[in-house]
Order: sequence, then structure tokens, then C-alpha cells
Amino acid sequence: MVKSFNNRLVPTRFLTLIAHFTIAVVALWAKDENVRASLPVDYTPTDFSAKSNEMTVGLSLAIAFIALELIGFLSGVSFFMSFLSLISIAAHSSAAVLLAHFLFDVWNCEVYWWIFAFCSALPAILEVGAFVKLLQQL
Amino acid sequence: MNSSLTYEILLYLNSYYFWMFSICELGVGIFKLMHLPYPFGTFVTECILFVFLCCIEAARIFMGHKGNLTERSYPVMVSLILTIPSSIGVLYFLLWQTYVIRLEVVLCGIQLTLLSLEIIFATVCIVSFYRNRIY
Repeated sequence: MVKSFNNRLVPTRFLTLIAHFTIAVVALWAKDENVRASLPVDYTPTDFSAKSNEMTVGLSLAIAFIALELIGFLSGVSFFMSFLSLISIAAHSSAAVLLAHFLFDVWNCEVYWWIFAFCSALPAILEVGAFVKLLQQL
Repeated sequence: MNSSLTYEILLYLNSYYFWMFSICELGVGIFKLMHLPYPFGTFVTECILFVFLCCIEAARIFMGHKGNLTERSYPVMVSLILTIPSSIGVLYFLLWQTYVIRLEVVLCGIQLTLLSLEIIFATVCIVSFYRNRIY
């Protein structure tokens, strides 16, 4: 039972991580529409570049956190932790769906930080926790 | 034990990734057929090419698994040779097909990264099998 459960969790976690990565890269590529959506009608180029930088930083941080989690996952730190895997699957699958809506419905940039906090930062913090736990056991 | 765990994990995850990739490609193909002026002959050609790519990829992953688990270098070498047509196929979908959309660029890039990682670990595997004199 446990074995088959883990057999399902590992590819699911990998695929949700990859899905989040893909949609984050596409969002980084096409962020101009969202940046324009979060500015007032009479914005200046300075406002635009400031907002654009904010979005770039947010999405790059999300990609970096995904990379961190992939490293932890593939090097075996959290490979067999089913609870962490479940949280990670839930967070990243909802992040992929929410970011798709973020792109399609041209959501405001402020909304992105909520997605980032709950769907990128939370599993990344748990992953760091798994690293710490591993180091304590050494 | 000479089998490489990393190679095995990569092959296992790549088999799942490739199925997701092919389903995405199918969806993207339907999208292009519906929304873009896409000659039907070209569409059929690209579909056939993708079916070939799927066959090659399935054979490559199967041979890699088999060679790595039985510690024989011959199937791993076959898998390594099959990487060449597979990567050319992925490169076709990345660069030379009629319409390339951003989603496909990212997905093909991930597939190419996995392929190159597998080349490295397959080589490591073959070297360790030969060093321990198992043919």
C-alpha cells in the first residue's frame, strides 16, 4: 500500500513542479499585459518599469524556489516524505491553475504575490525544513 | 552494484514527462488547427513525425531501463544511440515546425535538458559497466 502510494506521489510531484515551472516561464515571457493591467490609465514609463521589475523579481524567485525544490526532490532529501509531497502537489497544481488564470484573465500584479506566498514560498520553506531535518540526523 | 540510481530516476521521470509532453503537443496541435491557417497536409506530416518520436522515445526509455537494471552496456548503448533521433525530433518541434508557440519552446527545452542529463548518466553507466568487465 505504502509502496504503491509513493509510486503515484513521485511522478505526480515531478509533473506538478514542471507544470508550475512551465507556466512561470511563460508568464515571465508575457508579463507586459499584466503589468499594464495593474497600472492606472495615465501611467508613466517609470511606473511601468518599476512594476515590470517587481513582476520579474517575483517570477524569477518562483522559478528559483522550484529549482531548489527540484534539487531537494531529485537528490532524495524529500523523495519519500509523503506528507511534504502532498503539500507540494497541492500547492504547485493550484499555482499552475491560478497562473493560467492570471495570464488568461490578465489579473492584477498584486494578486500574484498571494499566489507566490501560498504556492511557491510555502513548499519551498517546507523543503528547507526537510534539509534541516536531514542535517540534524547526520 | 554498478547500476546508476540517478539514471534510473531520470528515465522513470522522463517516461512520465514525455507522456505529459505528448498530451500537451496534441492539445497545441488541435489549437493550431482551429485558430491558425494550417494546411492539413502539413498537420498530418507533423502528426506522423510526432508518432515516430513517441515510438523512438518509448524504445529509448525501455532500453535504458533494461540495460541499467541488468547491468549490460549493450542496451544502454542502444538507448544512447536512440537519443540522437529523439533529440533531432524534439529540435524539429522546437525550431523548424510551422508554428512554434511559447509553451512548446519551454516544454521542448525541458525535454532537451532531460535528454542531455541522460546522455551524461548513460555514459557514466557504460563506463562503470566496462570497468567492472560486464559485457
